[in-house]
Amino acid sequence: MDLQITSQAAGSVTVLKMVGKLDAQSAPAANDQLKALIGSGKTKVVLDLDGLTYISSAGLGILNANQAEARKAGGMIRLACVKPQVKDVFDLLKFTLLFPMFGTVQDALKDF
Amino acid sequence: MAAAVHEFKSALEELDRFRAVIDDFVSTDLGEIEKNRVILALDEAFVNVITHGYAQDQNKPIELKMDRKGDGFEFTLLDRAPLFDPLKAVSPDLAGHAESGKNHGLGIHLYTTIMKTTHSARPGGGNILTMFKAAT
Repeated sequence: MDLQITSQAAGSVTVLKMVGKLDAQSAPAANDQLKALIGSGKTKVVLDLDGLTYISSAGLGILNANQAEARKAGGMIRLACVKPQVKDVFDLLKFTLLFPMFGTVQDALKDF
Repeated sequence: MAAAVHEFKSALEELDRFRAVIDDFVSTDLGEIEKNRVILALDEAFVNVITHGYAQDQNKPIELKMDRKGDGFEFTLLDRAPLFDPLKAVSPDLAGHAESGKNHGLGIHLYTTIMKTTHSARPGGGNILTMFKAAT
């Protein structure tokens, strides 16, 4: 499967680095990981998408569902280093408004 | 580039190869964003056939035809799934979708937004989905 996710703590925030493609094939496992993280109370999340080269509606769907869960629990998912072709998909579905985007992981962390 | 025809089985494992042949077909004529949109639109339609049309049965056929037509590209996706016209699907409420945290239901909206799409019944059973993208 063409997606690797690594996790790193940065104080009260968890930085998840996604490398590869978030599509219908990889989305279920990514969803499990995000769901488990947020379910464990770690609701402040930065997704470092510098290595994410492709996203489809299946990927956006799991991000949307987990953003809703994080917000309900008082947290939020923020995005960093989003590539133009990935941001374009967020724009097409007007999801840009739902996910704050930052140029660097550090900037995303500072905003919490 | 000459017209091309590719056959796939109805499995998500085929996604990488499916996207690669489209990338190869359009790569010299479209910019990165437009190319990604074309690949995305066809990806969405392909996944819908696998998950909904064939209900995850992995041994069904899906055919992709690609051709240059006038000032753009024409893509045709053919299956043997039950008849389904995606153009009759209700458009999603994007704001409501985001608010509710829904995780599905955006694929048809995406590909009909990106490409001029038509649907017809396939002789002998199944669907023919035709998508056109101008090479602007």
